[in-house]
Amino acid sequence: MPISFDELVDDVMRRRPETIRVFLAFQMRCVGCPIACFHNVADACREHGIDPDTFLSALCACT
Amino acid sequence: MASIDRSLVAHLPLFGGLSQEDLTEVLREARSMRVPRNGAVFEQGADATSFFLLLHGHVRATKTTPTGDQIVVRYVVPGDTFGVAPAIGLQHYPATATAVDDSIVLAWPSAAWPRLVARFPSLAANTLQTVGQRLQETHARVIEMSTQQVEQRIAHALLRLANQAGRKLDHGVQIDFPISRQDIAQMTGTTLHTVSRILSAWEQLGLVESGRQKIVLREPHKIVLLAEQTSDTAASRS
Repeated sequence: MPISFDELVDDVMRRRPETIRVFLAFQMRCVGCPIACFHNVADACREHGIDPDTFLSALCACT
Repeated sequence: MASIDRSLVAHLPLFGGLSQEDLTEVLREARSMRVPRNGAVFEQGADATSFFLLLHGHVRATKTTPTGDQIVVRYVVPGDTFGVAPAIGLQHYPATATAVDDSIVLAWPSAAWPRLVARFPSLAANTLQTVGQRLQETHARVIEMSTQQVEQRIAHALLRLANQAGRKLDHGVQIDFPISRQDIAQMTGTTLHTVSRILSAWEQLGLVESGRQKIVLREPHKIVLLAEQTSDTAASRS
């Protein structure tokens, strides 16, 4: 199943641990974050001021 | 008494590694109890006659010091064991357990513990894991108490509660059981006055929304940033 904007970041990292690298590369704080189970990919991009399309393609590219 | 539905509890960490027959055996000795909101499951210092598993609701564990201060030790969420005094060699309950919501608990007689563990060693191994996790949480709190400013400790406490018992709303993450500013003060080693001051400031900034016994993290990400700032940056900001 491909990664989508509305998937929770906690689920993304659990389901595909190889994506953790991408979160780190974008300097996002989601890894180990207590609220990773409440924010989806779109929320996380908004909070970190990151372009969601660029980020989603990077996530998909690494899996 | 009606027997307890195995399927309700089979997935819980305590019962990992047990077969269906084993689980039936373990549950045979348990009885389920309803505890109304604000009812005590057990009191600190009382004879530890039973141990418990929370099925539904929330339970607060508090300790009272000889000088009368009350400290919130932890919140018990569904699936957690609590009051497992016999497993850690205690004859008396080390804390008071109070339901903060209408709750349902399973209770086993303490005398059953050694017998159950002898028959089903995975119960002991699973309990050791839980005790280990709680020890880690306690270590984290000791470090917070020793190294962090009160603002960060409050941020950490809110995030821990949200992570453990949060519910996602459109406008944030709500801590899904009744919790007061006094409770937060007792979790973070500070006063009600300080918690009120800090939460009111955060409310003005739109970070949280706190009503009577209800807290919503409106900007959980910003609270993470607050919790993680080093004391140097905190000092330079103030």
